[in-house]
Amino acid sequence: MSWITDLFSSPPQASPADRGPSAEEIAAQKAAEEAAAQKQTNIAKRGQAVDASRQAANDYFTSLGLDPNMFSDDVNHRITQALSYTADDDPNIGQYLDNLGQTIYDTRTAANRQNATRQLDLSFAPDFETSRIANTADDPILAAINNEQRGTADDYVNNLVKRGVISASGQAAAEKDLDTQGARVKTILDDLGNTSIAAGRQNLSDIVGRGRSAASSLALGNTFDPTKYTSEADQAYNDFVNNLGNSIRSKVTGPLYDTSKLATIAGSAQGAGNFKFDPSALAGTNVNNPNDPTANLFGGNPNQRRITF
Amino acid sequence: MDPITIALMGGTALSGLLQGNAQRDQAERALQMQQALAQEQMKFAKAGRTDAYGNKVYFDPTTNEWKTQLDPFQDRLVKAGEAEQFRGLTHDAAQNRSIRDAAAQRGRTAGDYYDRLAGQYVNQQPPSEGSIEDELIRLGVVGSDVGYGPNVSRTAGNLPYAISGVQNYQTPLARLAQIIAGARGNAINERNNRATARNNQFLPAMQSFERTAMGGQGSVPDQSTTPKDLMKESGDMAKTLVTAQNNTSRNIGNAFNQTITAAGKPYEGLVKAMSMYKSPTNKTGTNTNTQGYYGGSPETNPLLNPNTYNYYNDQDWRQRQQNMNNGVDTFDDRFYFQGA
Repeated sequence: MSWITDLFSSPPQASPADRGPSAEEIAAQKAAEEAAAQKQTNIAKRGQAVDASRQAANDYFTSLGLDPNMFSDDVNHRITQALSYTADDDPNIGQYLDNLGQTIYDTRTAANRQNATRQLDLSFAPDFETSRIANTADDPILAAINNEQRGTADDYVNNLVKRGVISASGQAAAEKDLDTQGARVKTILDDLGNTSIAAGRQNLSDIVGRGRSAASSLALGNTFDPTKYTSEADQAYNDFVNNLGNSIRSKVTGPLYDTSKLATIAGSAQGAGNFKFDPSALAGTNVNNPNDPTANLFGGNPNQRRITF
Repeated sequence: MDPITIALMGGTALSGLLQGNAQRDQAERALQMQQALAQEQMKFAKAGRTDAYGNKVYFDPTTNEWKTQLDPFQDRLVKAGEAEQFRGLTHDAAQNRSIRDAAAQRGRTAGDYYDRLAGQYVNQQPPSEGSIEDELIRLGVVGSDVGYGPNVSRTAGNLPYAISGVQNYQTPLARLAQIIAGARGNAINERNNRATARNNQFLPAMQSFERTAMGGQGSVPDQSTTPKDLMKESGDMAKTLVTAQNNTSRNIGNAFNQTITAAGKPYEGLVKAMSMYKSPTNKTGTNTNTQGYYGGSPETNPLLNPNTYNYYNDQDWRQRQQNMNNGVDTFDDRFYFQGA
């Protein structure tokens, strides 16, 4: 009667392994599978977004006439950055790569401009014009011009002495007057020198200014050569140095020392000579005149001892 | 137990049984009466009404919503607003996007121009005063007779003329100093003039390019201005309409509340559902709703603007009135109370 016993006895309890997965386990497994599938989908979308951004960036560079290969490193760098900023399965990576080409273009453009400006800064330090053309650059030239001018005036005084028009005391008075004039002459020459130096510095500033303007608006893809401006500045400096003398001398078209009053000054200092009145001397026609009874009055050179202006 | 006792007990039981039946019948009748009353009240609550402008307002049990049959004026407002919204979301949006894209492209180009001008403006200063002065001195010397001296008196032979020449004689140094002094003053003015001219040349152009580079602010509208323009055209008619709508809805809500109060608890669900149609009230019970149930005001909603479109058709209106009288509803019921 064992079948009767089996009929009323409860079946043996199945082991957990035999029971199979519970409903919760099945749901969890299904959720895990769905999550894994979703993750794979997101990863695929992520890759598509990256590819699309890369292509858009390349198209952007091409549209600007630039070679996309020039910027492949920048593109890869920014994509790597965006990938590192986001979760592995974040499909919305495209938002971090929006306008990738334009962003790289702007960044590289700004960097190139700063680099070009930096190169100019290395070649042209601040206030380089002043250091390149020192305030003393014109000193030898001004001294030479002053000496030439003073020499001419001294010659005039010496000639008066040689002709016997003025004495040593009169010469001293005339030289003293020339010394007084010398301060004014030197001031005027300094002014001429300063303006000439200012013009030279302005030329250098213009060259550097054009260089800085070009650097600050340098377009991506264009090269910047600072030596173009350094060479131009060197040439301008050499021209300035070589022509500084002519530049200053061209403004001095007459005798800077006034000799017109030296004879009077000398005469006042030395006193009256008590020479006989000579109307020819006053008229400036003190040449040999055979009909003039006063000619050769003193013998020798008829021009001697006559004051001429 | 004797027979008499048994008979009394049976009579009592029978009497109680009969009395219980009568009470049950009375209670059932009372319940039926209450149900009938509630149904009547519910019927009253759901009954259609007419607002101040003749709009038919009714409860639609299918959708569990109150609906309003618009008059022709409201109807054209609704349709005009919808049409305008549709155009705004389709044609206007696409057109504006195209305009803004073009503006952005112009902005980029303008940005390059701005950078170039800014670079020139900052780095290429006008000549210094010293440089200008040098130029003026050079020109002044060349144009003057610095070498002119009093020797002219020796060739003229005219004593008064000679004396005059001596008296008016200006030494080369003095003439040069005069030229320098004049050049210095002129150089100051010249540099100021050049700086001013330079500002006039660069600054307006830079400002213009900067404005364009910023995305065309001021030159391109952010959005279509059509809805805004239409809103400005709102009139008293539309404002009055909004007020009337508020009042109508409030009156309906009050009547319904009264009905529900009379009906009792079985209609709590309906009360809750209908409460959304009530005008909002503050703590003191004052109506705070300032907008029509069509949403917004004529200033903010082109649907309520009587000037939005003008395709009112008397023929259509008469046909619709006739249809209403015949029990045929051809009104567009898309627009109904949406709650506050």
